[in-house]
Amino acid sequence: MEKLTSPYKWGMVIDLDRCTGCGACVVACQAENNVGICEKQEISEGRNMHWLRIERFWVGEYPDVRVRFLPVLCQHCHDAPCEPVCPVYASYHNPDGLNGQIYSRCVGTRYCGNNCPYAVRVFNFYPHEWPKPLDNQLSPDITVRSRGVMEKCTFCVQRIRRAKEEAKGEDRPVRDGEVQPACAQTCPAEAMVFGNLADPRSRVARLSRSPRRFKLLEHLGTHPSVYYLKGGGREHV
Amino acid sequence: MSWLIAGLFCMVAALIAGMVLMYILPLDFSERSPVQPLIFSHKLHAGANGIPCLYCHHHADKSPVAGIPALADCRACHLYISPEAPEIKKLMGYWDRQEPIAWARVNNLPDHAYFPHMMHIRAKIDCSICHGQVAAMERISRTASLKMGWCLDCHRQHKASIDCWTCHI
Amino acid sequence: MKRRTFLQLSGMTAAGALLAGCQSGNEKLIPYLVPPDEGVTPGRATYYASSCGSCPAGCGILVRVSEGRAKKIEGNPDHPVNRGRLCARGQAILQELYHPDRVQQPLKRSGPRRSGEFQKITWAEGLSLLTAKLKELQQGQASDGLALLTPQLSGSLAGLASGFMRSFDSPHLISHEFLAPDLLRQAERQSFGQPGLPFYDLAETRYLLSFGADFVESHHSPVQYGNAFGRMRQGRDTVRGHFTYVGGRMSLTAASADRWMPARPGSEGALALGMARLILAETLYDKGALAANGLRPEELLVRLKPYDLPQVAVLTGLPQESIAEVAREFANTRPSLAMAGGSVAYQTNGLESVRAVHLLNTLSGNLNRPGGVYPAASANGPENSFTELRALVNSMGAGRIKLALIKGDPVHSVPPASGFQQALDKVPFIVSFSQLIDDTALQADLILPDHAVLESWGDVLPQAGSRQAVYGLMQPVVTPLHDTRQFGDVLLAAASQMGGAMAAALPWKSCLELVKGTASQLGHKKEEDFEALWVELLRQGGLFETKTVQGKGYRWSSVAALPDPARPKFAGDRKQFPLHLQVYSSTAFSDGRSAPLPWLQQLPDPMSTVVWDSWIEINPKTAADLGISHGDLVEVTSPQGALRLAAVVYPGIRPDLVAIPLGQGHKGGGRYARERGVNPLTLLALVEGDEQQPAWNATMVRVTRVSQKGNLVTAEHPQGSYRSDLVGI
Repeated sequence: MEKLTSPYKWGMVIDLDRCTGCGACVVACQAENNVGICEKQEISEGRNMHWLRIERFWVGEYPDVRVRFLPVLCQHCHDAPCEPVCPVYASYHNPDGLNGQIYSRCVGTRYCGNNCPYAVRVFNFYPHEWPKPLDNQLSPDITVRSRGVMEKCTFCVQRIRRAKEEAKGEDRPVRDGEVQPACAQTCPAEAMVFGNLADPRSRVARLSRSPRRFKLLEHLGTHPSVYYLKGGGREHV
Repeated sequence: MSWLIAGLFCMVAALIAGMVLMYILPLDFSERSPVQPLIFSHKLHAGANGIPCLYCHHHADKSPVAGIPALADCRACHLYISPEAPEIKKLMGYWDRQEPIAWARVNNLPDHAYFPHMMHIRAKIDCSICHGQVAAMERISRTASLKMGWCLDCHRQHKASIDCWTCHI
Repeated sequence: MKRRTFLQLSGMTAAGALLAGCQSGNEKLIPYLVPPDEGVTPGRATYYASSCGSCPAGCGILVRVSEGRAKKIEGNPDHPVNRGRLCARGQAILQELYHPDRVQQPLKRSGPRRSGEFQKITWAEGLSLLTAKLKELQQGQASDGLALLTPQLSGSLAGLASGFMRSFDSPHLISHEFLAPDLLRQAERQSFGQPGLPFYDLAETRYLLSFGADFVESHHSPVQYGNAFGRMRQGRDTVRGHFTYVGGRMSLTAASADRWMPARPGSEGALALGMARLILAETLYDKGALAANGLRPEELLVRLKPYDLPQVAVLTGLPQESIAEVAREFANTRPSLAMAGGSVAYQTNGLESVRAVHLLNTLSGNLNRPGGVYPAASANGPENSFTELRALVNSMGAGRIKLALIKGDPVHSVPPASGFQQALDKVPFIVSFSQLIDDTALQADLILPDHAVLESWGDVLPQAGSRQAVYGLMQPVVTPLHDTRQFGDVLLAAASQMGGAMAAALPWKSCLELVKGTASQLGHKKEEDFEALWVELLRQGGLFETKTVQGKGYRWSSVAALPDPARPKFAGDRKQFPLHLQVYSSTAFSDGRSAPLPWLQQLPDPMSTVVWDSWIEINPKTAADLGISHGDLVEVTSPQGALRLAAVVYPGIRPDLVAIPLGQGHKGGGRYARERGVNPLTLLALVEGDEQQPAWNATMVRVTRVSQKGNLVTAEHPQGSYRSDLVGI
C-alpha cells in the first residue's frame, strides 16, 4: 500500500564519458558508511568489503589498447533477485524503490549475495577493527556491522532520511539535488547524478532519458535504478 | 541403558524448555527505576512548578537526542533558587569538582534502532506517550516496553511510516 | 561421571550463565558540564570549513563533526578550486588525525639511529634541547650549520620558515619535493620570461593534447582538472572535447583519452616539434598569434627542419600518419590546448620538451584564450630545489651541517642516488617534526610531533588551480588528540626562547596570530572591522575573489631560444639494462605521504587493481619474452640497485618500458605502511654529465623472473576484464 504513496523513486545516472576512474567515490563510500578496513589476506580471498567498486576493462591489444571504467554499486533493482531469497526478510524493497538490508534481522545465510548478478553485496566474514583512536571516525548515523552480517550500498539512506526530515520540518518535498550520496557528492568529474526518478523534471530523470543510456546486465530483467551513459568516444557515436 | 535414554530425553526437554523460557521471559535486566546519583524530582520541577519539558531538554525539537541539561544550566537557576538544600549543595559539589553527573539511563533503545525526538515532537506526539506521566514521578521510571511491536502499534495508528529503514539503518 | 553430578554441573553452569547475563545494568547518561556553543546541537553534525593539506593544490574542505569528533571530509562547494569535490587522498586525511600510531608527545632517541628506540620527554625538555643546539651554533659563529628541510610550503608558513632561517642567518632552507613542478616553472621562465605555472582552461577546450601531464592523479590540481575534464566531455550541449595523450605508459589520465600515442621515452619534445613543423608547413597556424608573439613562420620552418615527419616517426616510434593526423586535428580544432608534465619532464631533455609544447600552444594561438592556457594566479615557488638539495648534500657530507630540522619524510622520498641518506648520517643532530615514526623520524635524535592538518591553523595559496586570487584558510576542527604542537608554533617558540634578533623577527606568539596577521593584510575591506572579516573567513574557509587577477598574459619571450630537445641521455648501458624505467605518482599515495592511511592502502589502484602492495608493470609481449606471468616475483636491477616485487602484465605500456608506482616501501610510518611493498626511488640513477637534473625517468633496468610467488593481491574480478560486452560498455 505504501508503494503507491511514496513521491520518491531514488535513482542514479553514471556518465561513463565523465568518469576518470580516480577512486574518490570508493573512499567516500567507505568513509560515510563505516565500511570495514580489510587486510590484504581478506581481499586475496575475494572478501573485500567495499560497497562501491570500479571495474576496469582492457579492450584491444598494444598499441591499440583502451581502458574503460565502470563504477559498480548496488543497482537497487525493482525486480531484485536478492529480495525473494532471504528467509528472514532482512533484504526487502522499500517504498522509495530502494533495496533495503536490515542488519539486525540478517542471520547470514548469504543467499542474497549469491543471487545478486552484480556481486555488490558483501558479507562480514571477519570482525573488523578500528584500533583506537581510529574508531573516532565511525559515523554515529549508521550501525557498525558485526561479523556474520550481509551489507551493501544503501544510496546513503542516512542522508536521504536527513533530507526528508529537513523537508518534512519545512513542509515541502525534498528538492532536486538536496540529497546526494557520498560518492556522487565527491565525484570530481561530476559523473554521478542522484535524484528522484519519479519527478520527470529532476536532473537524474532528464539524464536517464539520454540516448547514451544503458542498464547493467539489462537482459536479466532486474530493472535497476542505476542508469549508465556510454562513453562518447568514436566507437560509440 | 534405559536410564541413559531417559536422562538424555530429560536433558533435551530441559534445554527446549529453557529456550522457550528465555524467549518469552523479558531479557531486559536493566532497572525500570534506577537510583540516581542525585535525587532529582521531576514531580517538583515539571509537576509542581510546571516547567515545560523543552525548557531543560531543549534539543528535543531540533535533534534526534533530547539532551540532558548541562550542569551549568542546573546551576544557573539554583544559584538563586534554594541554594541551601542538601541536594543542591551536592550539585554544587559536582560543579566545584568539574565532574559531570553520571545519570542512570532509564529509557534506552538498542544501538540498531534510530529514534529521532524532533520528528515525534513535530508530529505532535506528547512526551508522556513514551515517557509516561513524568510530572507525577518523584524518581523517573520507565513506563513503556520500548519494544518494536509497541513502536509499530503507534506508527500504524498514526499512519506513520512502517518501512524498516525508518528506524533500522 | 555419575549422571547426578553431570546434571548438577550442567545446571550450575546454566545458572551461572544466566546470572552473568543479569549483570547488564543501566547505561550511564553523561551530560555536558557547560553547554556547547550556540549553533552546536548534540546529536546533529556541525560542518567546519578548512583547507586540505595533502598536496599543494589546496582544495577547500568541509569537515563534518559530531560530538567533537571529525567524521567525514567533503569538498567545500564555495571553493573555486575544487567546487565541492574532493579526491580520495583528501578524504583520507581524517585517518591522519586518528591514526593509531601517531607520536603522542616529544621523543628523544635512546638507542642507536634507526633502532626505533625512543624515550618520552616533555615539550619543555624537547624545546630546550632544540634551543640549546641552536645557541651552540650561534655562539660558535657557525650559523650556517643549521639546515631546515621542508616540503614546498605556501602561505604564512613559508614566510615563517624563511624568516626563521634568515634571522638565524643560515642559507640552508630547502623546500624540496620529489614531484614538485620546479622544472615546469623554469620552462615558463625561459619561454615566456615570467615565473609561475600555467592554468589550463580544460573545461572550455575542444581538443586536448597532453604530453605526459597526468592531471587526473597528480598534475598541479587533480580535483580542479578532474572536474574540468568532466565539463570538457559532457558540460556543453553540442561539443564533446577530444583528448589525445602522449606518453609511453597508459596512466590513469591516459585511460580516459580517445587516442593514446605511446612515444618512445624522451622523444615527446621531438614529437611536439614535429607537429609544430607540420602545422607551419601546411600553414595551419594562427597567423595573428604568431605575429603577436614576434615569431616568423619562415624562420621557424627553417629552424625546425630536423624535425620533419619521417625523422620524428623514427625518433618516437609512432606511425607517420597518426602524427600528421593529430597535428592537423590539433591545429584545426579551436580552441585547442597542449599540456606537458610528469614523465616527459623527468628526462634529461625534459626542460626543452616542455618548452616544445609551449611553442605548440603559441603556434595554434592557445595563449591567453578561453579554452587555452593562462598564467595561474598564484604559483610562485622554487625553480631549482634539486640543485639546492645537492648543494646541501655536499655540505652535510663535508660535515658542515650540525643541526638538521626536517619536516616531511625526505629519507623515503628523495632518491638515494642524490646521496642524501648517506650524507644525513653525518649530521650529528636531527630533529624531525613527523606525526608518525616515519623513515626520517627513525633516524632523528629528537621528534617534536606536529599536529594533524585537522588540528592546525594555517593558510594555503592553492597551486595553479585558478585564475582568481584564492586564499584558503586552515582551522582546527577538533581539539588536539595528543600532546603535539604545530610545526610553526615550535619554530615560533624556539625563536622567542633564542631572543634577540630572532625573537624580534618572529614576534608572533602562535600560528593563529601569524595567520590572523596575514589575513588582516588581505585588506580590501579596510573600513570593516577585522574581527567580523575573520569570522567570515572562518565560516567560508578563506577568501575567494571572483575577479580574475589582471596579470601579464603569456607572450613568447623575445630572448627565448627555440626549444631543442636533443637526444635524451639515459643512465645505464643498453646492453646490460635493456628496459626504460618509469616511476610515477601513485593515485593513492602521491610520493608516499599518504601510504600510512588504511583507506588508501585498501583502495584498489584504478589501473592494476592491486591493493596493499607495490608492483611493476610490464608489456604482455615483453613479459612473455622474459617468461614472466602475472603475479610472478621478479627482480629489477638498475645501475643503482635492485628490488624484488610482483609483476603485473599491463597491456597499456610500451614493450621497452616498465613502470613502478611511488609510495610504498616505508621502513616506518605506522602499522599500515611499514615494510609494505618497495620504494622504487632506490633504483633511480643520475645520468652521467647531467647530475644536477632530476631526470628520474632516465634510468635503464633489467628485469628477471625469480619465482611465481609474487604474493600479489588484486581486487579485480577474475573474469571481469574480458566481459565488457556483457555489461554493455
